[in-house]
Amino acid sequence: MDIDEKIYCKEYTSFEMMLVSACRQIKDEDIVFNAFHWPFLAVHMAKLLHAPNLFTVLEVGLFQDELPKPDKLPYSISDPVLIPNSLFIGDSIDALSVLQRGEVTLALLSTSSIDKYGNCNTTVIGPYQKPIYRLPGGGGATEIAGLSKKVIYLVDDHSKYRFIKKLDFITDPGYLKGYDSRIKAGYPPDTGPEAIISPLCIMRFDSVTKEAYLDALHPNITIEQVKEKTDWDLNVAKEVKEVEPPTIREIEICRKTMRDAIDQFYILKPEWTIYLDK
Amino acid sequence: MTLFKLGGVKRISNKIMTMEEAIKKSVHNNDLVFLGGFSNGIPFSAAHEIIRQNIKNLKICKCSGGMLFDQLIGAGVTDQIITSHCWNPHGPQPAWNLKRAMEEGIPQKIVYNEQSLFMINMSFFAGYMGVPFMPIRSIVGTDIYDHPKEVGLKAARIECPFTGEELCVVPAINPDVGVIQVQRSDSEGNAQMWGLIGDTKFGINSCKKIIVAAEEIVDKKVIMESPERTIVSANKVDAVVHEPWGGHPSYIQGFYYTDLEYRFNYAKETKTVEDWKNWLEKWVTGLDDREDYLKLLGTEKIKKLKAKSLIQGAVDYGY
Repeated sequence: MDIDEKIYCKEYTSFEMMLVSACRQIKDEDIVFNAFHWPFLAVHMAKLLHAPNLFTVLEVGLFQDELPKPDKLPYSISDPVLIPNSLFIGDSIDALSVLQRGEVTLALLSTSSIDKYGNCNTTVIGPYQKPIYRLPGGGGATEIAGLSKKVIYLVDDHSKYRFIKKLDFITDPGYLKGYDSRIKAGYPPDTGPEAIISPLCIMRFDSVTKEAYLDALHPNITIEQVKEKTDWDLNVAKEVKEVEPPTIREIEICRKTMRDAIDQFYILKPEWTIYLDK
Repeated sequence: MTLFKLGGVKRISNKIMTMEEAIKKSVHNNDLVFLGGFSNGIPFSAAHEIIRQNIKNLKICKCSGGMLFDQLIGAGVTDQIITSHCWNPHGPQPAWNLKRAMEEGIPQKIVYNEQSLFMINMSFFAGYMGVPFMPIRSIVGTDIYDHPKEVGLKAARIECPFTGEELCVVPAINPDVGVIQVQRSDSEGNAQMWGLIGDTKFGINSCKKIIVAAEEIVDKKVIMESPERTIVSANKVDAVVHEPWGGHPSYIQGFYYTDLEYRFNYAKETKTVEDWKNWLEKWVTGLDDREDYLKLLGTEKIKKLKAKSLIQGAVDYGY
């Protein structure tokens, strides 16, 4: 890595830290299933930063392995700008079959709520028949979560409403009820959630119980803060790591991507964007 | 079993008609309707005509419902949606009509037939192939698997007769009628699409009746110059509609770009029932047809969205 890139940024938002943290999990040699909407930003950043040859599969049936042209963030996974620079265009079955054949090494997903086994709900809050909030439904996330070798979840708000003890609906399978329940259900043994990244921290999963534990804190965050904002009694690693702050280079690309996102009609909360104009 | 009865052979040389005639002829109360397109080629014009004709109790299916389903729900023409996702991707923001229907029963209670993306695509694929089901490795252990399904779309598990492993299977869908908005078609209905296809090829070929809406009507010779782009052939097609800009506010590769502003503002303009009623009157029920809609959209907007030409990929078909 270039020496310049190791100069850390002093001021950044926790949302920016989450994106940078997610982006660092992506390797150039990965085959990534790229999904809407925060993962789309993290993958875009990785392509511009350290993974220019990243092979990405999009659920619409499109494969790519080059830097985006132009390097502006497309508005979504189906932006027509993606088409003339793709390696392969087929249909959704083509894309989802890549997953089913076990070829996807990494997937990133956004989710509105998650439990300690990495199961997610993007369907409904409240009883199914009398919903308090109806949500969109899972789309391809059900398959992405079920069949990728590693799945990293991004949750943009670390609160008890998002890190939930008991979900109202399981849309995307994590480790189901923990231990070997996922394998017993019929999922390939080498698949499943790898990490959950929030603005505050990175959680990973115990190799036996398959329960999420606090693995690393983002800078200036305490264990107590994370535990307080998690609905279940969160396990903590014996030695909790501290994530490196974003470098100047990382934050430059992150903010460029966020500016692009705003141009492309993404709604970013004001507290996430306070440094964008600097 | 009625699910697998496919449309008969249709060889009528000119099937061109207006959208009004096509919808009147082929879409009826209680039909199961497929609407094609994954961003590229969403049949908004056809959906608006369905709303104007006030067809009732439709069951609508599509891999990703989006704004199109939101409008059909809000207009009260559907009581059951079969999809994996329904939201406004710009923001992202809620699909307010979906929320109102599910949370408050406005304008009516609807059934959301919960699918995953692979599940619904493979149901179309089974319908396309003329087999009763297809196996998949996903959805087990989730509430999508366990969720009660109407119209016989519940998944099941079987033991593979060859390997003994247990697999999930999803049933075939063969909709009564399907509508697609494509780049071009000839007057018989040999329809071509390029760019993203999503669920369109398998979805439309699984339908018993087919309406093709096309940006351009071309000579059959043009179709035969690149036959691999054909996604449905004329023998299956009932009606062909020449409907330029029929996919707005979504895009058609090579013709026009997504109207991001319009789609983003749609969420704001439909947040309350009152707002939605105004929107519907302004853009759908207060208009006669797509020509009216384009007048309302305005020449400036149309000019702005028109795609810049990018012709590439000519190949040698010699032998």
